[in-house]
Amino acid sequence: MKTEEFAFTSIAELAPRIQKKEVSPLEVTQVYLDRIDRLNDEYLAYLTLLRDEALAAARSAEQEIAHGQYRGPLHGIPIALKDLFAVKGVRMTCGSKIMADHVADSDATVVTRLRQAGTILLGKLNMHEFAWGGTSLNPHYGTPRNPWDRTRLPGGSSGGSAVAMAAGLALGTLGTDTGGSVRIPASLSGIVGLKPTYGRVSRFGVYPLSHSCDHVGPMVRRVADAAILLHAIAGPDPSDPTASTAAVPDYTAALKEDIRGLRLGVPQEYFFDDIEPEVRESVQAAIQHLSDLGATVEAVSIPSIQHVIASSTAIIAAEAYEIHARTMQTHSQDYGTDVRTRLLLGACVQAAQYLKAQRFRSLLRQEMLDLLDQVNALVTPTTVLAASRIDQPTVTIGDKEFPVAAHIARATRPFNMTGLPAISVPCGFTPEGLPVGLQIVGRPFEEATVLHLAYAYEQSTAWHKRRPA
Amino acid sequence: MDIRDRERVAALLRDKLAEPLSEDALEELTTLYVQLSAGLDALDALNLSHIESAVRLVMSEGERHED
Repeated sequence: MKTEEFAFTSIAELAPRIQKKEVSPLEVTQVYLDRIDRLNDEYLAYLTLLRDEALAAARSAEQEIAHGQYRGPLHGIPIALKDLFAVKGVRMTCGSKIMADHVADSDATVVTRLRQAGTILLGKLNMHEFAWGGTSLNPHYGTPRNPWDRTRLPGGSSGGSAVAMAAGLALGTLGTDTGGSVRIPASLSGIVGLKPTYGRVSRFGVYPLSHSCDHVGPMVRRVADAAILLHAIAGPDPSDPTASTAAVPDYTAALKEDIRGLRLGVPQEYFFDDIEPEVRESVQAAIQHLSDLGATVEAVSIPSIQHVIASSTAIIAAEAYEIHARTMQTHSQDYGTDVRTRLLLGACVQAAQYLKAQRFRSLLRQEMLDLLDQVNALVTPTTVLAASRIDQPTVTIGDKEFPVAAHIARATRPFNMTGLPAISVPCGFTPEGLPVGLQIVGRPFEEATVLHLAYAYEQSTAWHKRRPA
Repeated sequence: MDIRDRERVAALLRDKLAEPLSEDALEELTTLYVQLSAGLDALDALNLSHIESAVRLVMSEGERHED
C-alpha cells in the first residue's frame, strides 16, 4: 500500500495490517498529520491539531502491538472528534467565540472508550456553532469546505467531521446528531454517518444542544467502520442516566451481503415531497437496487409526519435555549447571528407549546413503531437537496423557494424525534458531481439491521470508491 | 407583519438578552415565531389530549430495554 493510500483506506482494511505489523501506527499517523498540515487551510476541517500527543500515542500503540498487546480493530487508528467532545486538557470551542479558550477538565465517556480501544486522537474538528444548525456555516472559524466542490457546504453541524473523512484527513470521526447533524454532512459529503438509537451511546462530556434529541454517532468512509466504532462507544454509562443498559452486540457480525427476506418500507408522503429531482432519482434507483438484491419493498404511510418540523423546532429550540439562557443574558452579542436567532426562538417557545410538541412526538413515534412491526426498516433520502453553495441562502425546487438552513434537515429530523437508529450511505451523484445519501432507519436498538442493509448496498455498488478530485 | 406579533415577541424576550435586538433581527425572529406558532396550532387537529408526553417516554427507553 502506498503511503498516500492510507489517507483513503478504511479502518476495516487497515486494522488487520496493523495487527500483523505490516503497517506501523506511527507511519499512518504521520501520513495524516502531513496531509492536515498541507490541506487544512484549504478545507478548514480542524480547529485544534494534537500533533505531539498523536505522535506519542502512535509510538505507544506501536510498542504495545510489537509486544503482542493488540487491543482490537481501533488500536493504532488515527481519529478526530467534533469540537464538542470533552478531551482532558484540550481546548473545546464548540465552534463558538464564547468557548474559544475553554479547556476541558475531563474526558467524555466516548473519549475514554476510544482511548481504551487504542485510537490515536489527531485533533478537534470544525462545526456549526454549538451544533445549532445544519450547514456548518461558521462566522468565527470559517466554514469547512465540501471536498467535492469547495464552493459548497459540507452540511452540518458535524461539517468538519465529514470534511475530514471525505478529504482523507482522518480514518474515523465522531459527530453528534440532534436534527440530522451526523447524517446531513455524511450525505452532502459522500461518506457514511450513523445516528444510533437514543440512549445507545453515552453523551456524558458532550456539549448538549437538546437533551431529548441529541445523539452521538460515527462518521466514516465505510459501513464496516461505523460498525467497529459503534461497538467501541456504545453501552451503559453511570454518568449518563439516558444511556441504555441494553447489551451491545457485535455489529461487525451483522455485515452480510444477503438481504433476501428483509422488508423495507418507503414512506409515500413527506420524504419525497419538495425534493431536488436529481436526489430523488438517485434515491429511487438505490431503493430499486435493494429490491434487486432481494429485499421486499413496499409503500407505507406515516399520517402525521407533516407536523414534524414545527414540533421538532419547538422542542430543540426550547431545550437549546434552556442550556444557553444564562450566557444569552451576558454575551448574546458573541453568538453568530443565525445561532442567536435560533436560540431566541427557543426563548419564545412557551411551556404549553413545548408540551404539545412532546405529545405529538409520542404520536409520531407510535406511528413509526407500528410501521416497524410490519417492515424491518424504512428507506428515504437522507437530505432532499445536494450540497448548496456556501453563499446560497435559499434553494428553488420546482416553483417553490426554501431556506437551505431549514430544508436541509427535512428528512432527518423525524428520527431525532422518534429516537430510531438511522444511517446515511452514499447512493449516487448529481450531474454536477455532488454526493447523494440514502437513509435507512431501523427499530429501536436494531442498529445491526441498519448496518446490514447499508453494508449490502455499499458492497454491491461503487459509489464509495469515488474520491473528490 | 402584525405589530401585535412583534410586541409579543419583544415581551417574551424581555430581560433575556445582553443587548437589545436590532429592528431587523426582531422582525426576522417575529416571522419565525409566527410560523412556528402556526405549525404548532395545526397540531390541534390531531386531538393529542389523550396522548402522553414524550418527555417521559424517551427517557424511559433505556429502561424498557434493560436486560
